[in-house]
Amino acid sequence: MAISHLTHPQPSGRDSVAGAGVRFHVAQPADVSALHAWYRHCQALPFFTEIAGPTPTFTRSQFRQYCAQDAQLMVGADEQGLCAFILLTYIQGDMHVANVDFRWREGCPEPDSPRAKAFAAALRQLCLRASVTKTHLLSLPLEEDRLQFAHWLGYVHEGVLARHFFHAGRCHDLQCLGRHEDDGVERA
Amino acid sequence: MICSAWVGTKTMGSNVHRKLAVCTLRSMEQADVATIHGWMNNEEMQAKLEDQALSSDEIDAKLEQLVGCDPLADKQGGFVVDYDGRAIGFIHLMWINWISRTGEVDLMVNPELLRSMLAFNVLQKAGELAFEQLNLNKIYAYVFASNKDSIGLLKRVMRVEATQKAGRRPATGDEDVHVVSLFAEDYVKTLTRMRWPGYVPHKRKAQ
Repeated sequence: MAISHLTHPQPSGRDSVAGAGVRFHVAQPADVSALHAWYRHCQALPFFTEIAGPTPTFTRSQFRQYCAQDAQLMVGADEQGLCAFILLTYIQGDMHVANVDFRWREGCPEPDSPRAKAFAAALRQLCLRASVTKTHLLSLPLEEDRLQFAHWLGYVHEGVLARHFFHAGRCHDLQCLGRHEDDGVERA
Repeated sequence: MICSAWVGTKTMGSNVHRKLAVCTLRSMEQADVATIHGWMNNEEMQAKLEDQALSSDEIDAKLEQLVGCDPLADKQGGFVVDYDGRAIGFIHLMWINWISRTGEVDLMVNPELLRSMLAFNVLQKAGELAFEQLNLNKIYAYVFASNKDSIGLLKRVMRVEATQKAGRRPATGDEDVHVVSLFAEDYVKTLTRMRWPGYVPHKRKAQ
């Protein structure tokens, strides 16, 4: 099991991005525990949005494993604690492709705001760190602020997976978005 | 994760109905590893099916892990379609999500039979497996845009839901990848009727 970046952090210039009162950094074990606590709160929207899983009842060790296996995790913290995360999963090194998932505790910031720009810089850092040049994002259509934020980040619509994701009692459609890292440069 | 379905295409004639009736579906066994290895171990097949070329050992490792797989516990499984006592197709069902009741499918047809009507039987059996045996709601496949034969066949019963632009392939450069899907109700409307003599999906009239 590859959990190198969680158990053996390797500090470098790529490990953190700060701006507008929020600092994004590569997750440490304590951050994963805090994120798991956030995950366990009952929420109207799914914490993770991906088609192959994961279960909504992960234990902490399962959660930690999910965030580490072929994955890279960055968390954002402000004066009130953990406020956002960016997770790259299913990183395919040879293809330089990965799925991306992100969430803000209090909803996505306004496009072009300082917090949004800090997030864009952090996402770019994480992609560089993972050697990923294309990322895929899935989102529920009802997550309008997340979609708007994703479009601002440079994600373009690639299709809709009909009735593909079960959450809160029914199957939802999923919006597929994709971004080449070159397209997101100017946001960071 | 990106993979594709590769099946041959041919307008279905009346013989296909007879062949559908005698095709059987079974779990993959150790003895099938060598057979399927033989199908996969050529450049043309791999160019259509895989993100990148697999070595002989990598093919073996991929197939060996499917022998004895339990779809419920392992969320994947390997299955073989037989016709007349001979393996004609391989179905790899993976990333089964038992909450959303979806699964990704890889289809492979014996290269010797690629242009025969039997290719469609493998697709029909994939539907039977997913919807009649495992009670999934939806299956989907990732198909490279250059794999036009497969797309032509799959679009008769499946729908293209998304196109991932310029997915990276080390072997052939950037290439779009289509996500095609089949719902249980569409399977019932189309593929199960393949058992009826004279039914041809691509010629059906809108009601």
